[in-house]
Amino acid sequence: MDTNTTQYKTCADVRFRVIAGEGVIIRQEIGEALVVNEVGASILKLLNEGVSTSKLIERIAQEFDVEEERLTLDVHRYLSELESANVVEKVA
Amino acid sequence: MSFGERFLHYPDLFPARPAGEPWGEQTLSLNIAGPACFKGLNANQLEAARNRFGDSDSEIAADQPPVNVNVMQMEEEEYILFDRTGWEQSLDLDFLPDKVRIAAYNFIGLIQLQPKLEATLWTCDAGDEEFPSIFENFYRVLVAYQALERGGILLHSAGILLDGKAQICYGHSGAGKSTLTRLAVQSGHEILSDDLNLIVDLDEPQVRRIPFAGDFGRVPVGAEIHPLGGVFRLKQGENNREQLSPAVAFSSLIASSPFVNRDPYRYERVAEITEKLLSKFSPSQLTFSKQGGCWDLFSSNP
Repeated sequence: MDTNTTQYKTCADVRFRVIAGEGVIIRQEIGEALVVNEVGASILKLLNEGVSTSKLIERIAQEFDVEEERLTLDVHRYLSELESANVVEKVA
Repeated sequence: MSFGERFLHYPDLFPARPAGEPWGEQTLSLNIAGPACFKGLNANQLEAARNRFGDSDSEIAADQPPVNVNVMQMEEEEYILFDRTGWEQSLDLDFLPDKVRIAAYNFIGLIQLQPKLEATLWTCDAGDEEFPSIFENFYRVLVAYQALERGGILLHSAGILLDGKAQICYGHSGAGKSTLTRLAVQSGHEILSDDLNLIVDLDEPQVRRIPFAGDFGRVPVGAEIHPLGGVFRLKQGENNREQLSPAVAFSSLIASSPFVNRDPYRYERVAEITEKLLSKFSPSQLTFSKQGGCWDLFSSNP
């Protein structure tokens, strides 16, 4: 069960950058690319800074002015999707 | 499965540096993304490679020394032989800070990137039926790195000449490169390649005709070069053209840059070259119909 104390990081083969507000994820192991929207880009940027999930939710809530309770569910769902896509992994 | 395991009995014995016996004393000079000199071929291998690629000795530009490629012998017993019915050649690539190792069916390769670009190809094929494809599969990787070193980029794409300009249409497998190429041929347009195209000189981007192609565009190495007219991501559907966002354009171009896009040590260089290309050409998504009629879209504004 994921909790707000779980920390994620991008997988070793993932390269990430923000271009014109959108996030570009390159999965080098398979040579594939994904593009995520502004919110997704902010989440990945924060993960790359080593921010914990709880802090991440706090920062996204401030940045995009959304209610934290709703955002918590969405962020957990999003992180789980990124984990399934081998973009992020839990920090041991 | 670790590197080379599916092709070699003892992948750990993969040579760390050029070593072994050459096949012969023949030499072949070719120039695709820069001059390359293949040394140590026997007469059969030379003839097989020459029949496929020609011999551009006279065209080797003097602007830089050629990349030396040693061709060495390797015992057949070292390779794992398996039934290849319905199997397509795929390469195992091992990216290291100063080199790239390649393992494949019937050959292994080493591309040394530092301190200078040079390469070695080991094979058990003495110049028989499969030698041209062994040579080509190895050479494709080398060309991708030679292009990168010289600030160019190899793209999985269909290259079509329209009004003297090269239109580069890239996309994932199944996006329609072969279908569009077939339509172009039916409409009387000239094809550069239906598989890989080389964009060079990004200050004034040009497309060099290269011999890596599927059904259309398999020509010997030559010096033909055309100004780049446009870069398009392909999709099949109703004829339409629309602008791609900078992020989608960047990501899709990186995804279409074979071999080097998987190299963690050279990623920043690939990204830098891709951004330079994007500063000159802003790719559109080109949706085309199998019924044809898409050619005006290349000159229209999205």
